[in-house]
Amino acid sequence: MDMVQKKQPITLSDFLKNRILWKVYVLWFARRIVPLMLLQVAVIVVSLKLFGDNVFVSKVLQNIGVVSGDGYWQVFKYLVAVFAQTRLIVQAVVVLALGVVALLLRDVLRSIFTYRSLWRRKE
Amino acid sequence: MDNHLKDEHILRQALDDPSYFSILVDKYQIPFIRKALGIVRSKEEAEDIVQETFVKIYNYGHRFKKEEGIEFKSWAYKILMNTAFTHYQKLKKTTGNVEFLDPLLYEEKPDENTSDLASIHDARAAVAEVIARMPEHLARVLKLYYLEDKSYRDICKAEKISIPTLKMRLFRAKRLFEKLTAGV
Repeated sequence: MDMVQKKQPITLSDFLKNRILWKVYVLWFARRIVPLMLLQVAVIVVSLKLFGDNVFVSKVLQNIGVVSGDGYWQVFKYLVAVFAQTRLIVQAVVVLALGVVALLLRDVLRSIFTYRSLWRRKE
Repeated sequence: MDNHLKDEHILRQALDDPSYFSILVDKYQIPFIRKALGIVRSKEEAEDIVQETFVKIYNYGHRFKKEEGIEFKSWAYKILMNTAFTHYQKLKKTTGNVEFLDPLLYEEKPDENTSDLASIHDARAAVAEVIARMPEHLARVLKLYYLEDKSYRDICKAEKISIPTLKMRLFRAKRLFEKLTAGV
């Protein structure tokens, strides 16, 4: 039996490795995600402001309340009809806001999945 | 899985997806710790240096461009050496101030940190003395690269030489430096 034991090389402890990866993740998040999210939130705020200035929101909500008794399909049909009848600027704002909300959601999900894959790859 | 990729590709991918960075951490942690231990001779300090180095590599990763004669490895090692040197300077200052207050120092074996501290104080003078004994063109590149922290490109421009020539000159300078310090 070989009695000679090889000296184990010093490696970083899991704690330190996790700390490095956590710092790297924070850097990535601050550099890649935060500026995008700030821009997206700013666009959404401006869109909502424009929407509020051009649409009588409480009336729309009141009407939704009336048609909601007939089911979701009626609510959807009502919203489509309202959208079709409104001015072009409002339509553009709604489309823009929905698009940016989708991008925001994508970035939130990307951050979560990247965070999870960071530890998965480490294992 | 991704180990067949070159380091610079892994770094580039890590800038988009930081999970790739763990491949570089796994690959370089042992040589980095070994190198850092050669400078500070304390495992905890070496780990701090390595940790800081990896974060810097990621932080400045977007600035790294692979060019002829400039490999990721040498770039990463330069960051490690600079970080280790900065750490070493800080350590020197801190231990200089708390030398007689920190009980940890008394509990250390006498030949570990204390001998290190003594050598730190003499290191600069010794290095300057050895460099002065070297041929001027070798001493100049050694000083520019290791002491003044200039990039390959800057040195090449100043010396009007190509990167491979600079690398060769640095290699010769290091060898001569080792030879000259062997007797010190």
